[in-house]
Amino acid sequence: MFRVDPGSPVPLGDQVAACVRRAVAEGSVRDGERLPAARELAASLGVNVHTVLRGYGRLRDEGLIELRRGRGAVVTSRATPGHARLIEAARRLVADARELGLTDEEVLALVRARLAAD
Amino acid sequence: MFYLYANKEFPVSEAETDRRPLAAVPRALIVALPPLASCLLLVTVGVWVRERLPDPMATHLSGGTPDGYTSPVTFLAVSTGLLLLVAIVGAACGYLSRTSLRALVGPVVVEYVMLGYLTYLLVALVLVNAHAERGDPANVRFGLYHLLLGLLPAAVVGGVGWLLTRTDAVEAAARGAGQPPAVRLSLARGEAATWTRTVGSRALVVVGLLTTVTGIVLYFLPAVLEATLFCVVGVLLAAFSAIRVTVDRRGVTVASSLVAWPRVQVPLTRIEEATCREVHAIREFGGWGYRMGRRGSSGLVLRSGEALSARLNSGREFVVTVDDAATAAALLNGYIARRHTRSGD
Repeated sequence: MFRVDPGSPVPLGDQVAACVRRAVAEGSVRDGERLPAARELAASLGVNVHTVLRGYGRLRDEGLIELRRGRGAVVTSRATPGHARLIEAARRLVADARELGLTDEEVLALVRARLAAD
Repeated sequence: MFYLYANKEFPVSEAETDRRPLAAVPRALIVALPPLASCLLLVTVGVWVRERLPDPMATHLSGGTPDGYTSPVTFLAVSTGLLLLVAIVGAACGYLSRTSLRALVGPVVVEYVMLGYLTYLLVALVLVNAHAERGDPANVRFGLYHLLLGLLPAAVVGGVGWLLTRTDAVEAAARGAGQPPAVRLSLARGEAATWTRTVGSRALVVVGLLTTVTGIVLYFLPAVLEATLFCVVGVLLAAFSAIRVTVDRRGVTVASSLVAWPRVQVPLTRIEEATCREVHAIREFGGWGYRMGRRGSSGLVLRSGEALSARLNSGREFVVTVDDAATAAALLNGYIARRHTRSGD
């Protein structure tokens, strides 16, 4: 289920990605399932195809989906609810850090310190 | 049986909804009419030109020239025998049918068209034999243009069949007893949502593969025309064994997840209300595929079980068997509600 609100300040591409992440977290899409083709989803939602591609690209970078020529967007085996929640936690971490004015290096240093401590 | 049928909804006038259903005998007659008329026509033509028919006459041709001969009597006897058999089976189906022929317009028109085409070819074959040069069946030439020309009477006969189905009642789709009330998802102004899911049918994959393999085997017989037909049908069946159902602002779309076309689309404007219900493939629809079922239901039935059911403006029901149909129905109802508030209903 994809729900996007053009009126929201969140970019549409990110909204699309969030829908997939939510579905993975709920377990309603599983490893190996095919997501609709970007062109079809764009026509269905009434948005630009590049918007959907941006969302799909983000999910690929997060390792949740694979984009293969001919097969389209396929959910990877890494797409477990736990993994999706982890990505969501990372998103919140980065958002909070940026709000506090931390630079990228400072965020990484924070994470490394945590990794070293445990 | 698999019907590839464009889902066209015919507008229904007030007067037509009052039409009472046809009795069993008229239904039987309508279904049995094409083979019976075909039989009659063939026998009449055969008797009319019997003086000029060579014995044996050319009955099998390849590339327009004859390579198989049968006696006229055998040919007519076998043809009429088969046609009468079809008439009996058709009459039985028509007599026992508890669905209005109007809901079965697809299969009825296909029957009329096919028999119209076949009759043309049979009559043409007899006449071509009767006019064979010097009465020699080896001189018979059955031009391939007949294959195209036959489409004309076939279309006319199909039209007659369509008109005859209109004499039957329009059936309102019956709501299953004890169905939960329709649930609606609330959509914000400007919000867009899409629900999409894939469904697979292993039965159709197997049937599709078997049909395609049979087609390939036929090719080596050789029976090229039949082989092509089997292969095409087999590929279509396999293509539809995995479908994607999408519910969005445009309505319901069902397409093969492998090829973009053919697809079935039910526009949102034609849908009154959507629900989720249980569907039984054999009992309600007599099988799997794109089916016409009882009481004005039709749709894609790939398995028994949970299905999305859309009640249309025309009173008919469109179903698609798919998981999580409840969410799909809720989304459809949300769009319908928004459409109503937008138009000030």
